[in-house]
Amino acid sequence: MKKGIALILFLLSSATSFAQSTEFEDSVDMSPWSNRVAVFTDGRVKSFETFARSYMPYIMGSRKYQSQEATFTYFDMLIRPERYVGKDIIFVKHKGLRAAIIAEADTSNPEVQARMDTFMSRGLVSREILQEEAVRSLLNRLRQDVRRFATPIEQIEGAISATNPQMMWNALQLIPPDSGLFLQPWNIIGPNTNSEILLAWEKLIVAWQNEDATTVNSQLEMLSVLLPALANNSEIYPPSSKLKMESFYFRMGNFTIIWLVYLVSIVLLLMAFIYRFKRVGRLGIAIFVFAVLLNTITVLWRWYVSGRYPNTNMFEAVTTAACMGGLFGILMEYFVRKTSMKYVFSLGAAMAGMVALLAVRLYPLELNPHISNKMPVLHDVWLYIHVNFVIFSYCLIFVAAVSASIYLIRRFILKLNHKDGTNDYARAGGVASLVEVRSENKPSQSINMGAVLDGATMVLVELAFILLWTGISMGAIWADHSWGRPWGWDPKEVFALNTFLIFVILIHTRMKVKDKGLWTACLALIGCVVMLFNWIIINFTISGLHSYA
Amino acid sequence: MKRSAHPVFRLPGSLLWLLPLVVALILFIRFDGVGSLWWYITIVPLTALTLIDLFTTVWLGITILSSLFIYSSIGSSGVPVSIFIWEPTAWVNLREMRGLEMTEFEWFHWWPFKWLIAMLCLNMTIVTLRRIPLTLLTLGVWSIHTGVIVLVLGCLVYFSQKVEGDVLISRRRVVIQEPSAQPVSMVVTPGNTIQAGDRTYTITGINPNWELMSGDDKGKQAYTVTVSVDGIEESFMRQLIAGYPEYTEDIVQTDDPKQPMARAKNIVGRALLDEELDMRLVYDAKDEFLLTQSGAFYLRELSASGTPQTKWIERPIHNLPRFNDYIDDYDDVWISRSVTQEPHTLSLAVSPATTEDPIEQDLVVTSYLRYAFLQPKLMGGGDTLSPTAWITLRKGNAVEQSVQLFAFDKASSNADTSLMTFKWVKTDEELNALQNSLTPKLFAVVGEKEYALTIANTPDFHPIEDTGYSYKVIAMQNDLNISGTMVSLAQVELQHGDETWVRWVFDNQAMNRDVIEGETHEGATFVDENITMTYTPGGAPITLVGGVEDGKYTLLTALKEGEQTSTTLEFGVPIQLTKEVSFTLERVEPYTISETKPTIVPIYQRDPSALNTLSMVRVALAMEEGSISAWLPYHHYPFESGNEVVRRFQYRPTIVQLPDGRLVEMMFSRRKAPLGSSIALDSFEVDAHLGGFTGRTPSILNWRSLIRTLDEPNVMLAVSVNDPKQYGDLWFFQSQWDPPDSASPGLNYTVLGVGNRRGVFQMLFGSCLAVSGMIWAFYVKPMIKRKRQQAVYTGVAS
Repeated sequence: MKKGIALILFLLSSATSFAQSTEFEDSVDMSPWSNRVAVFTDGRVKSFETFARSYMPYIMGSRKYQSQEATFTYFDMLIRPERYVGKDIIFVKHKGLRAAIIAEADTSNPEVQARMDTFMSRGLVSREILQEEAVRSLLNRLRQDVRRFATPIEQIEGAISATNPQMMWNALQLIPPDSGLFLQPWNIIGPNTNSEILLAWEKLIVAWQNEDATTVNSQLEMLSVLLPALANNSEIYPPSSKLKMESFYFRMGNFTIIWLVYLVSIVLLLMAFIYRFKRVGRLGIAIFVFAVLLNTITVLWRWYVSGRYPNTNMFEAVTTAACMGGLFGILMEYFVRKTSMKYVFSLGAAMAGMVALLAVRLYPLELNPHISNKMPVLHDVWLYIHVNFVIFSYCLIFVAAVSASIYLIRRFILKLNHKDGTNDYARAGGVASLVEVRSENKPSQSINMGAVLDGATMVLVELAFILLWTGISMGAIWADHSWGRPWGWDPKEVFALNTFLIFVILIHTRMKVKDKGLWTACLALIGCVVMLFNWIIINFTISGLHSYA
Repeated sequence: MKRSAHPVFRLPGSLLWLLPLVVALILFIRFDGVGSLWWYITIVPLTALTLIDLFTTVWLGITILSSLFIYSSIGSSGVPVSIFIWEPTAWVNLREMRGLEMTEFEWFHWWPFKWLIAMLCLNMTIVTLRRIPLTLLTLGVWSIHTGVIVLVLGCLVYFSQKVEGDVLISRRRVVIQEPSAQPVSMVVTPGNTIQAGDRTYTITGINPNWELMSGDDKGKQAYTVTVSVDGIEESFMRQLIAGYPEYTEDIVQTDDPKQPMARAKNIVGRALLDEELDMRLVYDAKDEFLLTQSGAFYLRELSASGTPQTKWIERPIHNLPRFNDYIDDYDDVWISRSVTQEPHTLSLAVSPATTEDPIEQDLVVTSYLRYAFLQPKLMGGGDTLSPTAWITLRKGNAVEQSVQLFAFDKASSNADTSLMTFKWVKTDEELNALQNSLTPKLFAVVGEKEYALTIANTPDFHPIEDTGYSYKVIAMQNDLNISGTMVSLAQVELQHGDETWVRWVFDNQAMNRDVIEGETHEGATFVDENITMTYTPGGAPITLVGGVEDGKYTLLTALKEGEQTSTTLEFGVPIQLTKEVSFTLERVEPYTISETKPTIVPIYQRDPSALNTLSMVRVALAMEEGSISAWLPYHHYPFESGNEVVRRFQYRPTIVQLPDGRLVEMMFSRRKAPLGSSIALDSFEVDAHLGGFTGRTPSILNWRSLIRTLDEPNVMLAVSVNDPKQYGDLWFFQSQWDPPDSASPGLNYTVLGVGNRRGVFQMLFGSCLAVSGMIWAFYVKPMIKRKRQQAVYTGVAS
């Protein structure tokens, strides 16, 4: 009975606090801080919004607490930590670990049981459950299984400590050095801080605790003016315009939503390619160009806000590769605009762009979009040359796999219809096929869709072949002066070479077999699988020297 | 219309030669003609022709390429043993299995790989020469094939002569020379200590960026080291500044409590308290480096007092396993429940490499453990009474804690001895006395009358009969170490009339005092001297008692006020201490000895990034006088002595007494190779991002080791990430550093990668040639063909 009453009271109180908090959160305007306040973290400054958006995933992964924005949640956890006591705020990514924790947790309370069901599906659990003796004992036991559980358990512990208000406070380095010198440390608000800021900060805290949104907003506004002024117009404090752009970039989810534009273009281009609908084709090309334009703008946007060319982590490598593929698609589309190969390159590039952006959107923890400083080893001109060559070649391999896949589907359909497609291949492979494919305005009996697709695959394979070899060689040059050896048989190196080997086999097999189109398509697809294996399994599962790539 | 050839004739040409070759072989064998003149005349050319034809086929090339793909994949990622290929545990690396034990480097330099590469090169050469006439159109493929062959030749030069390793260089050494004594030295690392004469020298402070405050050098930053000099008569500290010996000065103790240490200059009027003591910072010169993935024993003979007679003598080890445990007798290790006890024997003889080796015989490696640590454990036996008990505490079914209690060495017990202890008594009387003294006692004396007070943890005050005083016990703390003295304390809140105060009642009544705001604790001060109190601490509330009778052990508990229990224990039978917690006596050994053996860490608990740093070997030595064996843990660097060791690295050489009576020190580490010159670390710099160097890696832009070559003192090499430097035949790369942490500001040493790079330019040339060939074959050739076709069409049309 007592438990029942306690449960009702708990539910009532949480419902009340939820209602109040939502109202308060809605009334608090964090935009002055998002647009004007910079936070120093790990050797660079970020807009406060970017900082909060990169901090909260340590605690909640990609989830949100009661749909609150990260900026609000950061302040709220800092000022009113009691509000989060007993709440499901810690993200546990490992599903096996979730199940193990649920098995150990005290679920005698039906409310806790219901929360455990939600935990299993969403991954969020309270600190208190994780700190139950039985759960702690479980985690200590599992931690000994270093390969499987040490990292996920360290992440849980990191998440718990990240909710500590003291840690959150220490992370909030808002005060730039008075000197404006580049190498001077930034500080947190403390006794030595300007009294005006201290006063505003104190008022802000009191008002926040009292849920007085009007005062909170006025103090946030005041601080957003006072804090940047401390830098005395020094270059170390980013201008408001840049901070605004940075905040907006992350608020918009790094614009990965562009995958939808790519998707629309894919549908139209596919229809245009198969059915030769001219208007649909034109519309498809226009939308594809629009998608590439947006993709390019976001890459340039990131370049501007990060202050460096975006190719130093997996997120940047994937999005930049998508952009490169898109630009290549447009270029090739221009070259082949009067041939039967029309739409093939843009279709493949659109598919590559869509998959890339969808991947970074769906896996934000693995393909972390947050901007950080480059590791010392990456400060080298070869980063720009080697990495770009390799990721461009990988993109082309993917595009080639798209045309190869369509070719295989077509062959499959022919097979179902008892037709022979053995002769459906480009007579002069590769770039030569570009000059041999006749204009679609001129009727031709020798050119069919199979030959077009096969020709496009070869154009892509040949270019990828050269770029990959060059990229590997350039990587060797970099490794030679960075690690002391051009080739270390690191898994990433070996599988880049393996990808290349598949294309060497493709080119030689094509010379010898009768069914050139089929073999080419199959090997192009295998090459793409090996490339993806290198980019996904080798990177995330089999560690090596290229762990940051 | 062209007729297709018969399928037999469309097969690779090699078959045309293969058939007569097989026939000839059968005939020679049938008629016993093997080895005859005709045998050579017939078989050799036929074999050559067969092979040439075989190597003329593109299919052979494709087969070799496919084999290379499979071989590389197996050696690199391994093979999946589960469909969950994204799980690290799904991948098994064949090259690491028993019988192979290969690194990636070794796998890709094994004969199958070499053969495949050789066959590929042969195939390319023969195909190119026989089937691709050199024309403008085939220039591309010629260039590609030539480029690949040049690349392979470059690799041959590079990998066959590759030397790779690393060298650790400390920033400075401290050389100490006392008058008329031999100088001694130690590397600068926090806490390093050395004895010279009757003084002990300890490095107590290091500042890598000390700002000079004097003269023309004011504002410059330098590396400073503070050495504490502790002698019988005096103690002081000496501050040494790298590059500025003229600024060396002593810091001495003063009588001023506000400034206990001051510059000697200000106290005694001179910079150095002991001007005869010569102490200076010198370079830590290195002329050798350690080879990657190598193994070696280091040996040296010791004098009877344990002093090394020589430097380490190296004895290289070849073919040492790397990834798997080899042990034939599991009695040599502590067994973990999760370790499979399957014996795997090893017998690897390691011979002396020089005549200076103190042992003439081979050392035989009989065991290798990839991931283990030496652990001392107590075993039953010996003739010294040292009672030890092993207990398991369980809370519910899940939480379990193993406790080890020592009757005569409380400090070694891994339990809070104020709560749980082990006593060894001889008689029942002693046992009874122990039981009676288990609970603490608190007395108050008011007006010469003594009152026994009940100790209860309640929030209310209890009246002390009709004295007008009331009390409540706030806390009790036993066995507190105050200035080296163990004391026990009861904090009691007293009330008399309207006045309330706290009294600290010690087991030593002379220390009793009241807590009065604003007063220091020097001297006892009482609010009310009419009430005096005494406190007798009880024993641990959980006390295991043995010794009265062989094999009989009693558990005394006093967990609740006024409730004492005495239970005779049976091994393995749990006793409930509370509703949730149970106590199980697992084992007791009255007589114990300590034995050290390796504990093998189960595979799933091993950190892959530890590589072989936690490996160890067991060596056996057989001499005429007898035989010995010992475990030798791996050392990443074979430091000469404990004073050479920098933090994060271990120095645990093993001392063994040989059957012939000599003492020999042994160490397991890596092989050394000469650098060709002496080098030293002049300074170590860190470039930082915005906000300066915070100690965290993301704040670092670059690391730079400024290396001075001692043979040519004017040559300074700034080795940084992505910017290696060559000196002689070797290149130096920035590899590791000494990051700051709570124990030290770091930056005390650097680790440089060392290696040669012969053949690199051949490899680069081969790659460029191949790229040009690809561009020619894929882009230039079609254009030429197109132009030629157009020319033909134009000609026909005209």
